[in-house]
Amino acid sequence: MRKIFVVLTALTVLSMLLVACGTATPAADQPTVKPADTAVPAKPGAVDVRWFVGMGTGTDPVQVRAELEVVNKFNAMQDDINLILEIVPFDSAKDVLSTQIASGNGPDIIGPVGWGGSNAFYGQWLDISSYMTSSGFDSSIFNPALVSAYETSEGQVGLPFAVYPAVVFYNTKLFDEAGLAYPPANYGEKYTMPDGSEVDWSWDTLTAVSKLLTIDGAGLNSTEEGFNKDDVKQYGFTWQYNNHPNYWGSYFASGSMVAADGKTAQAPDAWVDAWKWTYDAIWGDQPFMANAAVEGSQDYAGGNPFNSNKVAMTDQPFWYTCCIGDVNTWDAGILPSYNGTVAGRVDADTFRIWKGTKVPEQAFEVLKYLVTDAVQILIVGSEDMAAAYGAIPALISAQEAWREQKAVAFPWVKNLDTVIAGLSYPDAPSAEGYMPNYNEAWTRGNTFANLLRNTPGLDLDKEIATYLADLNTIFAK
Amino acid sequence: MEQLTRLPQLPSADTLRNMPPLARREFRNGMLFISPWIIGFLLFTLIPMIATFLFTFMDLKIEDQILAAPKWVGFDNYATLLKDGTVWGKSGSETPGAMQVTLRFGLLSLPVAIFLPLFIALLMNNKNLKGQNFFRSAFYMPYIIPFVASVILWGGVLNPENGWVNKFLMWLGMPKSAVPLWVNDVNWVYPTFIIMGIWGIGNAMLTQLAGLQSVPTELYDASKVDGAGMWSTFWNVTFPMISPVVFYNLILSVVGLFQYFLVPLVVNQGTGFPGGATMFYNLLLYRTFFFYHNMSYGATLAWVLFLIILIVTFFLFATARKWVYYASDK
Amino acid sequence: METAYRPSRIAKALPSILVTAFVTLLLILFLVPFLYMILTSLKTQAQFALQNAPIWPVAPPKYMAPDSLSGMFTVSVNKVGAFVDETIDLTAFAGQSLDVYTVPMEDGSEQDLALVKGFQKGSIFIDPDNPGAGAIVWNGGSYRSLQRPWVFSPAWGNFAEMWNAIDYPQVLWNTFFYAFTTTVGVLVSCILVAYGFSRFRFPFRDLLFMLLISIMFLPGTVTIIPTFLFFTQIGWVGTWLPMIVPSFFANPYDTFLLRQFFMTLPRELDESAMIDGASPMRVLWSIIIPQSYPVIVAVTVFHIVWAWNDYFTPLIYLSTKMDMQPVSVALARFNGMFGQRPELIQAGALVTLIPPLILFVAAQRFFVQGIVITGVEK
Repeated sequence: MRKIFVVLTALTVLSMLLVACGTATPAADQPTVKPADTAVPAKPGAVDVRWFVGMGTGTDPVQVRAELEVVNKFNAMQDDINLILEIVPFDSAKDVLSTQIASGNGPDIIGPVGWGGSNAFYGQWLDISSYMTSSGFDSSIFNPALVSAYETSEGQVGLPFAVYPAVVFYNTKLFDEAGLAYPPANYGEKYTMPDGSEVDWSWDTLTAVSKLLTIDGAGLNSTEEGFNKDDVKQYGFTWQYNNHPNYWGSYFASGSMVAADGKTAQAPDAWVDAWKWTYDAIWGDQPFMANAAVEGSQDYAGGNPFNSNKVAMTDQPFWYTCCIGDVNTWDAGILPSYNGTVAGRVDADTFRIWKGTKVPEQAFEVLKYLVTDAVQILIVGSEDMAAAYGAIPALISAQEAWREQKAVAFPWVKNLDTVIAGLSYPDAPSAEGYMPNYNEAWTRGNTFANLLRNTPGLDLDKEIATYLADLNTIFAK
Repeated sequence: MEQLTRLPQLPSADTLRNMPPLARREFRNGMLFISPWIIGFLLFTLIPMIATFLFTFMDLKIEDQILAAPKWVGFDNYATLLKDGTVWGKSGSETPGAMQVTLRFGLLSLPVAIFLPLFIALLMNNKNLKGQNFFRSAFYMPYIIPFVASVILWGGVLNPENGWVNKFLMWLGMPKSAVPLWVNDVNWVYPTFIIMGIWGIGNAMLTQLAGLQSVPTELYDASKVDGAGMWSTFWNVTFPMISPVVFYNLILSVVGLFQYFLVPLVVNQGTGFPGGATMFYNLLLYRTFFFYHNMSYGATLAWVLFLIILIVTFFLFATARKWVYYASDK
Repeated sequence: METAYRPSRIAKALPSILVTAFVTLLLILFLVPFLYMILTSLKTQAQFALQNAPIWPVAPPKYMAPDSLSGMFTVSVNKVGAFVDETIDLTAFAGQSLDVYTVPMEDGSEQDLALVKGFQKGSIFIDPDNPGAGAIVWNGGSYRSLQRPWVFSPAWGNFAEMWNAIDYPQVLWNTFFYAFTTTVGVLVSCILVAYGFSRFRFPFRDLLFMLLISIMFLPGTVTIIPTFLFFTQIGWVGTWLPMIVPSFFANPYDTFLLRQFFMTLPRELDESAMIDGASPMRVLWSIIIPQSYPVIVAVTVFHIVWAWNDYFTPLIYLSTKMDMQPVSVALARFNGMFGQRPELIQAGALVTLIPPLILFVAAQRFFVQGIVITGVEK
């Protein structure tokens, strides 16, 4: 009679017990890194500070290992703060962060996060200037221009941490096979064409070279008679992870989709050129860029085509070194010029403090640690542990060590100085600069890029007009 | 489910008071047994539901802390929704509205979602099939595969340029210009989603199979004696007998249709590409909530969706009297 | 006699053969994507990008040039459109690993040769069988279009890499734990509630049951934020409680299935037990449950499979606790912003598939007849 209660209670108690101690139950001994084992036990009286990773790079299991190392070091060296790492897969990070922030339970520190990820949560960031003053933080350890870059309409919302100047990544093997000269390594140098003429390294030059590097099964390049578009074995160029009209445009000339009045959509002439150039590169008579479906396929490394060893060039911020594991014949060249002027992009990642944090002072302590002492582990790396992020440290004192580490990590790369020289060509305003209703506006850009990369036979002027009209609607919301 | 086709009668307070002791005990016991659900419903469902319902009358963005002073705007959100072109479509625009997208897809996908599992279940139930257990498990298996993995493999099989299917079609001699572009083509994107959906029919197949197995064999024998063919046996014996199961799957499919968003979110990056054809209602809702951070408008979209689903299912329950066969009606 | 008997036996077996063959064909079509999954899990990133490779995992064949390789040759090769004389010193390739391609020869035969220098329209090879004999030129196009004598080479290491990278034993245990505890919760609560709805007459019952059903129609997005807020306020975020505790308060899907089954059971047995003075709990335990094993097994399997792949709920509540996350969340870590590792995701998904699949195969004979959706009229 009471048996059912006994059984049901036993089951309930059993599962509650499992709840209580389930995750503490050690699994079989593993030689792997286990967050639970490596975590320093909670300190009495210490304040919890949550560090949220997932808005940009940083969620790869290898990167997580370095981040855990930072957390453990920080927790071991002081008694007041208990730093907690929170890893959310990139695909879901925005959902999770929205849910947390909307319910008042946001993390204290968020990063690495770039301009785009930050603008997606515009208005959520803490102005840290008063904490910098009160703690006497010396910001001269960074390039002042980078510090002021984080002074936005929201206040001082970050400190420089990682900077990623852009370069042209090129595959030396494919250039050798084509008997072509490599892109120049120093700004101001000319490029030698196959006929021996010396020309500026401009977008026109890059286009000509890319066509020679796009070949079909018969070995014909895309400028030759009889070139078979349906049997391309290798492409000249890819935008890789820069598939947004704002990025395409910014590599031609810095600009913005928002007019000076802050609410009208506009398309800078150089950007329209860049979009037409891209469209022609994919669908034109002499194509040299793969369409979205090809680039997304596993044959082209699932959206990482340069890594397939079948694409000769890409224009990309230097964080891309994260993802070219299989190409050990790449090097860095200078960015092409447009109408005689070089335009680049300097991506920057930092850590930001959520405005709603209950422990701003402690969060600022962690922030200071992350942008100074942690740079060694996170950006420079060591022989035992590769750097978590493929950036140049904004911390001036760490830049030499960075250069030495990169020389070890990429022994075949000759032009590391080309990368540093790229810092002189930032995109101002940023390609990811603020637009009203940022998320919706940015997404509309993605739709436009998708359309161009997937659809032959478009009337581009008409599509651009539609794009601008939609942006005006979004801005006005 | 028949009882659900009419609104239940609310008992008056008097009936409660005047209940005989036996009925009162039954009332007490019944309430006791369903109390876990009542408590859970109040705690984990009703309170959040009321909260989101209140959101629909506010202007609430992510930057406004929910617990801080709310900005009441009355029915503004509903007024906006009623004339929102992204939901209902704009006249003169080629881009369909999210509700149009959902309904168009439903016209194509619902018949497949109902009849294909039924067809497979009929095969699984065929006494001539050897190795039934093996086949059942094999057809069920894809249902267990995690979503993150299945998206990748469909990307490989149905890639417009070098997916397996298109490679096969070209090997058969189809010119490259003629192969389907799958998710990149306005005309192919719904069939592609349906093909992806077919992979997850495991559960629907099982319920249909269970229905088929409960059909008494005497009925088939009788039908045979009458000289009925296969087709007429199916429509006159099998289908009426399993119609409650079909109805159950229909309801679940309709609910699934209105809540469809994960596939277009991941496969088409949630941008609605191509040509807005994949901006489903629930995807728009999801984006409004998590990307555009407009909590109040997102909640309004959600509540209106909830009401639409309720109305549609009530309508289906009403039609069910015409075609769903209940043993007790004999 | 015997000759007359035989065709009749075949005729008897014919429907069986036809039906089974048809279903097999259907299944093969149905499982093509699954084959893709297996093959993906056995390839490395470099193998995905191989030109002209077959669909199964292969390695590009290599030829190890001997240390003694030497010789200077000058050949005429079409590099990028014009024939040029290229002088090649084979000493430079001594001791190196060279790629082997199947090269069509002038006499129409094909030969497996090792590539020493490739250009766009022509390439220079040596013969692995006779490396010192000289350089062989092929001017027939890009060497990338050539076939290669592929070697089957599955990357079993993917499984080990996946296993270690996400601490698989721990996350699998978490998944099991999540599936088990919530299944207990679902069984206990849904059986009680379904019993209450199916065997007792009380006012508001039909209204409440309709309410329960209509909760199925509620879009999940509607309640996420207030629910998360609620669990934050009571301090449950970062624990299993927001997932496990609600499972003890009955969900509409499983309650509905159980109730429909209970409705089909004859009432005579429990009524006579009641008259004998048995309590309702006693009736449930000794009369209803013993008759309901099929549906109980069905609910168990359905719930375990559902919990096994549940993603968003564990993700938002356990984002600070990596060591508590289930496999579904851990696998998504391989889908980073830039570095996607489809092969590790598929390897992990395949291993994770095994336990629920075994459960399903073992349990299916018991529960297929348990999913009763008829009998709603009572």
